[in-house]
Amino acid sequence: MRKFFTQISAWLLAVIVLSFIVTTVAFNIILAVVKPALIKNATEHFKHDVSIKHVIYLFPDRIIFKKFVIDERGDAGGKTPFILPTVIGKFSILKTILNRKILFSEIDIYKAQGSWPLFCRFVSKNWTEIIRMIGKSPKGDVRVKLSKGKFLLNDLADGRRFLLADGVCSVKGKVIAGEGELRFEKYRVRDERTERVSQETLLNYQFNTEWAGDIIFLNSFVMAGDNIYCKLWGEWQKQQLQLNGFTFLNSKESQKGNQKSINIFDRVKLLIGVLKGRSAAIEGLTAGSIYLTDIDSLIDINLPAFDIKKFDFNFNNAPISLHGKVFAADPVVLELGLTAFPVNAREGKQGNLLRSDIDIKGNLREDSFSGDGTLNLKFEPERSVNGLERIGVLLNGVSLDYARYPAVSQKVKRGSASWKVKGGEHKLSVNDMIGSLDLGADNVKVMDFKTGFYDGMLEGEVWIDTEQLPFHITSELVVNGAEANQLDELVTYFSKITGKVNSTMTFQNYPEMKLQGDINIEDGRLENFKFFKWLAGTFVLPSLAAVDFDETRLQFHVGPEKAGIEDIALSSRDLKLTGYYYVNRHSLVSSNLVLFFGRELLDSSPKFKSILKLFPNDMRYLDFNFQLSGNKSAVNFMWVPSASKIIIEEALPDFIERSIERRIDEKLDSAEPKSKDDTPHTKNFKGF
Amino acid sequence: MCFLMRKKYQIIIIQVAFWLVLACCSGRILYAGEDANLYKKASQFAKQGDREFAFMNYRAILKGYPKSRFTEKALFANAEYYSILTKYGDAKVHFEDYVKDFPDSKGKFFALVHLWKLAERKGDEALLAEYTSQIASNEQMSFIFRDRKEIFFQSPLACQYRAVIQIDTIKIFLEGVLFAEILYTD
Repeated sequence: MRKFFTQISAWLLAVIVLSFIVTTVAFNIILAVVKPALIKNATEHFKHDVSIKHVIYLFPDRIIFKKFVIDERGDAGGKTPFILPTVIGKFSILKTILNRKILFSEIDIYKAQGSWPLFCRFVSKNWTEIIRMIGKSPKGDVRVKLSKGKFLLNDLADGRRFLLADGVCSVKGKVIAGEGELRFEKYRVRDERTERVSQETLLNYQFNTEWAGDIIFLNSFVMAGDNIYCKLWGEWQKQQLQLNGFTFLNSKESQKGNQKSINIFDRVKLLIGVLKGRSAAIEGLTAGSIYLTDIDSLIDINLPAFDIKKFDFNFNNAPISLHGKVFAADPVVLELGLTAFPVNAREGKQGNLLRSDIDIKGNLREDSFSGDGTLNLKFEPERSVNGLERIGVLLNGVSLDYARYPAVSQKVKRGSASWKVKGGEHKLSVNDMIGSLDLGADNVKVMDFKTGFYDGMLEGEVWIDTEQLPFHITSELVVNGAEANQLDELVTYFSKITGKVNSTMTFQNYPEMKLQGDINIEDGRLENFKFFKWLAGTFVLPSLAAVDFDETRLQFHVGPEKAGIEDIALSSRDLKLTGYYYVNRHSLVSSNLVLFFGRELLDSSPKFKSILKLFPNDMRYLDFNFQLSGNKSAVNFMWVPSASKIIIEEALPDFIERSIERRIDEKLDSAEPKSKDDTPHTKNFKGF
Repeated sequence: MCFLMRKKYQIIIIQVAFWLVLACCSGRILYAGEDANLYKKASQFAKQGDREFAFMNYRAILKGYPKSRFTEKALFANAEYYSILTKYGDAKVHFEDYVKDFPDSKGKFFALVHLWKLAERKGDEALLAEYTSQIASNEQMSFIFRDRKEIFFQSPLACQYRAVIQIDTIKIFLEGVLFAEILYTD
């Protein structure tokens, strides 16, 4: 009997071993046969190459995928978005037999590694296929676990930054839940070995969703870390996603400095507000911190189209509303509009910006963007320097190429910036602009550009310090051969000048806004300048109505306190002009102009003809020095003593001087406005 | 008979119309006369140096006859009197009304000077700059052979103003004493 049992046991063992061997061998043969088809199928559907080194069946219920690799195709070949060295899938034998297909109940992914930017590119390129695959995957309870994932974020000057990921996601009946953590770590390469330098950030995440017929409830999605706390909830129904929530992004600087950070009471207050449907304004917002509250969104999703009906939120207490459409194909088609009301954005820093609108329309590709954009900013004039009322920027035919990121090249077919201030409207237009922007440097981004500029060229270099908010901008600009007359939309005075403009200028917005430089105009003409017209009329010098000149040079300066020109040097056959002319922020003029009239010019005036005899014949030019002062709408002017004036005064009897003065007074009085609408400057000389 | 009746009614209607027109005209004359009387009294008191009585009569014009032709002088007098009393808040309101309601008056320039002075007292730099700009734009001046121009003004309270205007400075003297010096250049 004992022998019988021994024999049975031996047979059973042999059967088991044989089954194990047969099953293992058979499954492995099947997998080896199926593997190329699997790879081919995946490669056909994905826009990336897929390869799996080994697919191994492990008795009784596991399949191991070894070295699952995704590679880029074409020109980008050789780049690997990610590698999954070991993926172990556990399945139920019974369910597999009953369903005649493998249903994994557990999937463990070990030590996934790759490049985060390339991984994102893989997802963005293939995400419709990924979604389709998830949709087609067999339904059943499953747990997916990711362990020790490591993705390269970017290369630094002294090392590399990695994203490390661990997490688990489980599907149980109608509930999908998951949790995990993300770490950002910096590594240093030393002697061909990498060693961890620092752990920068730790983020924990948790989510819970529930299927209920046609509705999927996102019960909660929470992401929490040192500097972030984000909570979202909402639902998905009939291709419509409704999402609500709030996010705090608190910079390290604001926490460790002496600035006030958002405290627990604020958070409670905020949470109560959120639960009530609207949060109260947070007090004591710190610089560098970002608080997105009252997130209230409604998005129609009909893949790949997203129709953003509304995406409203408060950005540091400033209400922002986003709407538009996104067609997430290749290219991604965008049509987005954003409206922000930044007043009261920060405690104690109530700006004068009332509203900003941004509209973007274009195509977003993997490494480029092309489209159009507008930006409109509306200000409160009473609280703005120079009564700034609005700024508008219009860009047509924008093309951004960031294939060689952080170097971004840019083209703009047509662009304009317009602004309305107390003194009127101004506009600056460019065409066929090409440029490049280097986003690689740590804080200072450098941009250079070259553009058509009023029949000439404008070249420039701009440095943007992004460490501070608002950004500190410094730039150098060079204008060559622009047509002066066409610059009238920028500065109205240019409507009275013809000639080719060359200029070099610098601009900075910190510590105060300042634009300064020099202008050189060659072979031009001054026409209809009020000052010259006044001289022409008063002293019967008709040729002053239009003054041809060989060259005009001047320096200009535009700042928050005053704007004007100095070191003026106008040189023509009959006339020379030197001096300066400034208008301060209160419209008060400060000017001194010295005119040198040629003898021929004065000889043409009946008023000067007799006076001319008083001057020696070898005196080719007579100097007249004028001081201008007062409000620019009615500038006072004074003939300042000079060599010429002394000679004329000595020759004129007092009563003639008084008579001249009286006649000018009468002329000015007769030109005084008769009503409010008839402003003085419409009739009188008011400077330039 | 009928003709006589109609004639009688016509006469009555004409008589009624005549008395109505007369009543309106006389009322208007009486009305005009009262504010003129008040103004006459006010200016007499002002010339005698009785500013309080002058003020009371000017104030009566403002209260009783806000649309009178003497309102301009009454308003300036009220503003000036409050300024003398150092009731600067009331003075400011009245001078502002004066500048707004009588933009073409000769007194506007001096009302602006008062407002400038009030802003200076208050240390309100923005307002000071605004009034400086308005004063500078009040009248365009030329200085070809002369270096200054003087403007004289007697206020309704009989205060003597003298403005000495130079190319970039205005000095205002009140009763011979320097009241304000306004420089309008950088």
